[in-house]
Amino acid sequence: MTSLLVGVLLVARSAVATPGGTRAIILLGTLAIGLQLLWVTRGPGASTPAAALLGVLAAFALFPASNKGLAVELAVLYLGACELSAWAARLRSVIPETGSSIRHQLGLLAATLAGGGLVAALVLAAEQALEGPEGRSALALGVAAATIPVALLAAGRLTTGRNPVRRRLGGPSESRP
Amino acid sequence: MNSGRGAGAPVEVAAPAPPAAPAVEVAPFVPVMASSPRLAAYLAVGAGALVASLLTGRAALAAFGAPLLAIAAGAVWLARPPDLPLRAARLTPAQALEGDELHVELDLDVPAGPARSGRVDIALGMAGPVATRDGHGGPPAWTVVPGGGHRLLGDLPTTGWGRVTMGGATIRAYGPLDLVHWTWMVPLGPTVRVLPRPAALSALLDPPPRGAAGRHPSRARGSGLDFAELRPLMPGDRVSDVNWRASARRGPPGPGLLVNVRHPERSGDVVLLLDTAADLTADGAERAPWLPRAAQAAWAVAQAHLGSHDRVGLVTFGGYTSWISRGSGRRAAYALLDKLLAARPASTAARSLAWLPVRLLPADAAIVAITPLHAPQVGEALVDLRRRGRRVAALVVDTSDLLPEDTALDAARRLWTVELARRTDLLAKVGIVTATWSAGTPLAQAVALLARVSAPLRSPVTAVRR
Repeated sequence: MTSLLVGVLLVARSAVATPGGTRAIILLGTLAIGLQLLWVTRGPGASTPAAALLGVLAAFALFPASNKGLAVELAVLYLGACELSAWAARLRSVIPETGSSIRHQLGLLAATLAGGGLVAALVLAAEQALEGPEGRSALALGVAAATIPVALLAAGRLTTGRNPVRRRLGGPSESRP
Repeated sequence: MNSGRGAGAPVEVAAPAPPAAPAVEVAPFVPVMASSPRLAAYLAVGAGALVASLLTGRAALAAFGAPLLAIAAGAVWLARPPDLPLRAARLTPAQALEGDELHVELDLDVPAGPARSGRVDIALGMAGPVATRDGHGGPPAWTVVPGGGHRLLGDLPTTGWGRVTMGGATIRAYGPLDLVHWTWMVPLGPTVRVLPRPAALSALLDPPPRGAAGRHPSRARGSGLDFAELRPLMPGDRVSDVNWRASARRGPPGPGLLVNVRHPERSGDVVLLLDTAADLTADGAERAPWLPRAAQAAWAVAQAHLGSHDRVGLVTFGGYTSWISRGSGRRAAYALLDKLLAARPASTAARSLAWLPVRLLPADAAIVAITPLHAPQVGEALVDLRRRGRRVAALVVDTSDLLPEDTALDAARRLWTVELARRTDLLAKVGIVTATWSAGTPLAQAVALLARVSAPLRSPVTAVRR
């Protein structure tokens, strides 16, 4: 329920902040909340489209220059909606939560939201510091600096093999008891 | 959660060792890496926001996308393939009575660290008449946060009798931020035999049946093959009846020579045919919820015949075909019970009993099938046996209480009941003695009804009207 509330809050903030596109955001937002509801109640099948649609809505609300200050808030709301939805879906599984696992999950959630908000604030602060003709160049460098490592990491860990232990050890037979 | 209690034979799970040679087969121990759907969404939204920021010059978009990419990159970068956390698994006691609780113990080692910050989930695949105590409806499952060794305990009440197997464990270790995970499918295999309570079994045959299907020896003793007892040599005994070994062991100052006393050769041969054909559900699972009660009925029928000095054999048919040869006495009873406990359903069925060894279905044996008549091939096999002139009886296990209670399925339920009645009628028409038994009711009446199978054969059956 909390995850859905955060999702509704994200859609509402985006709609209020974008007077020109309120109707479109509300329509797409309704679809996104519906997908999020499926994610929470039916499992992870709808998680990727729900998260992607919520992200598109938030990004759409940041196009007006006057909404620059909303970036941190929307990033935190977006991360909160996704992480809480994933946890809610997990709560419906056969794996029961314990006190320690709930504390662990809450710590993880707090770290994700705080870290995400901090990174967003740092990027905004950097942009303000470099505002002017050099601002766009700095932004381009920042984009490249963030994108290239991500691409390299993703290429190295996700696409060259789905079974790193098997590759590293040379085969499964030695893992038999 | 963490306590020290250990008993029984554990299944030790070894950690992966360095390789001697590359192998190509994928064993269930090998973890499979997968990413969370959120990772793809974070990467797509973050990259899209950064590119849009670059194209439009809006720094707010970069501020929105950068944390998503940072979280995704951090989760992937910090993730390291963990070692298999499961060290040992135990299922105790080795043997239990119906209704007792089984105890599960799992030893896990989940080290902590920057690359080991994710939790570990573990779910056990239990097969057999067992339920989870907390009633969440799924398999026994736990979650463990990083931080050294853990001993997971679980109590599982048994719901019937049979063989309970801890088939395997599905273990999932999450990486940092839960965005990637590794999954192992570890076969375990500890098995516990859950035996029926004597009171429940004797209630099935209370009052005891007047007769069973075979030809039975009298309580008196006489010449025959089945050993009854030893007694001192008396005038008139044959020398060939002297049991020299027993006499030598007894020695002086005993009463001298001992002779074997045998039951008159009037016992019969009975072969129980247990139907293990499973119902194939819509999701492809093979289920036979009626099998425990069918096995219970088979055990009661076997008890009745063994108590009458018949030789009793068992053939499971419909699913996996297996058998034990005919025998009598306590050893045969234990062998039968063991086989019944091991009976498992399957939907891949042989369609004929013709290929079974002749010694399993001797010509003069009475064949008693215990079946719900769900699988057509079982009824066809019984008709085939009857056509060959065998003495066949069928104890039809009533499964109407297992049908869904949904009122929308009333018509389907009625049709199914009519179909079962038609199949029963078909058996009766070819001369197969049938009796229906409902769970919870005494079996004595049904066993007595099956005694008609020992009656002389009818005229040969030449046609079966379907």
